[in-house]
Amino acid sequence: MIELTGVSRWYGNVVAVNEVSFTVGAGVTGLLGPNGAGKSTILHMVAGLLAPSTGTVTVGGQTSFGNPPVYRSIGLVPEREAVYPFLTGREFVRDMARLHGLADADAATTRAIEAVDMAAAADRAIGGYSKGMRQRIKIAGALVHDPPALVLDEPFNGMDPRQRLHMMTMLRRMAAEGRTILFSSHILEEVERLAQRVLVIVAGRLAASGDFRQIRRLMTDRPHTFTVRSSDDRALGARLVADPVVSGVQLEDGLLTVRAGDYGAFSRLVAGAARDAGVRLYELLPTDESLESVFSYLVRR
Amino acid sequence: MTAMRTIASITLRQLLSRRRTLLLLLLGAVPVVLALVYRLGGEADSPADAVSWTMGMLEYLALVTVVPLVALIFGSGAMGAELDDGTAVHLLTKPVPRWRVGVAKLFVAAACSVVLSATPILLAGLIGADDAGVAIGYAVGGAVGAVVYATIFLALSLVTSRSFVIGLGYVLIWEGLLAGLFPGIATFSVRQYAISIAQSVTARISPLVDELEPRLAVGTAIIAAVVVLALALGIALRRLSRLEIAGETA
Repeated sequence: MIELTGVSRWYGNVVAVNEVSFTVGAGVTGLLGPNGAGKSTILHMVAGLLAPSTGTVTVGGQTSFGNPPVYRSIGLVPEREAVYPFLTGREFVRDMARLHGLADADAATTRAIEAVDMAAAADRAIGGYSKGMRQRIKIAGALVHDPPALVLDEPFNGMDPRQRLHMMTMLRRMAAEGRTILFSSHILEEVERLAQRVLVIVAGRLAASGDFRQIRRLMTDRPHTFTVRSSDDRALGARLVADPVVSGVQLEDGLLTVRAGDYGAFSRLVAGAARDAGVRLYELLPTDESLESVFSYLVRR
Repeated sequence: MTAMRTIASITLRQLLSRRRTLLLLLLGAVPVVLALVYRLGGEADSPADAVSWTMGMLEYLALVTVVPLVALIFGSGAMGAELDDGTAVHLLTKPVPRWRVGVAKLFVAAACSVVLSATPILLAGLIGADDAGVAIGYAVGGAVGAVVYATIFLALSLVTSRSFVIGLGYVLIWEGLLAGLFPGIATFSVRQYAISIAQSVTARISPLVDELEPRLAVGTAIIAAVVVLALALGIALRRLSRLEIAGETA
């Protein structure tokens, strides 16, 4: 449905997206990556708002950029929350339906508003909406022409947990109806809970793609580093390094650093090891758990 | 057609926010109030006197000041505001050719500019000169100026994101100062097109006004206005068709 072939995009001298190729079909696909990795640039190219510097971007076999008819098969929910504040939700969705030239704009509007559960607030001005409501009315506007592909840029930003859950249920339902849904996020848990398939973007490159469980395993199997403070670092270090889970121990400037291959196994191991060695644990800190470091690990592989 | 009507109606509601409309009505009220003061103060010694005073007032206050300012606000705001706040995405991700988006926006910007600048001119002309010829002549000149200016400013808003400031500079320095000082650049001054057309129409329909000799012959003014309009429209539509909207700033 959505296909990128050898796509790069640069702004002046800055390369935002570098030789990215992927195909996205029916179901939910998550575009995961740290902020500034190029997710938005990719989605904007998919939605025909940016031209690729090299390569091709197609949706349903049609070129995206400079080709307005492509919008019959795609709905975009942009990240910026701006929606005309002077329109009511219903007016906004109906105007979107009219721009699509739908034969029965009113019926399509009612349907789209019900799909996002906004019937109760539809006749209020958007200016008074909460962030979550605005997001939902934007989705209704993007869905009103019943497109086979829906592209959402950071759809969960600024939503509270309840709204987030509601939105996930909605997107799952739409995917079950056979739609292609591509959304971006910089939060691992969001992608984990929603996407069947994941594309990991780091520094403009496609770092990994595939089933989420596979990628999760790659991420958890990487070496983890912890710093430990205890009543006897030397004894604890000696005890830990004897375990196969631990791949290395370093004691420098009174700071014990431990490298382990398996996050879960190490966290289960450390308390027992301290007890066995007769050492009191004061502090155990994973040092390198930012998403960025997870991502850069994936890139180096 | 439905699509263009929808774009026009959104643009209209966007441009005619309460505050903006009020501000522009106040601006338009200035020549009207001045004309009232002139009449009520009994300054006019003869009808011919009143006509020549009103024509001078309308030229400097309306054609040189009100018309370009009103057109600047509508012309640069019609597309520029939506590009700034990001709502333009809703219009541009629809199966509507971009030139249609541009034409619909321009139509609304030009129509708003014409109504909000020609109406006060008409009123001020009727009050100040007590002559329909002067009122209509200057309203026509003002309307032509408003349409050309609005198109220029719409194009400018697609070329730079600082279209308002640059447009204001152009209105004050080029149109306000230089085009008044140097007759040589009259052919490249929208202000002179408006004045030439206003004087020519007035002379034609008013019994009180003899044939005038504007700095720019009316034929030249019309042709130049059409050329500038077409050029600005061409630039605007070309820019719009290639316009890209970036997500996160790289």
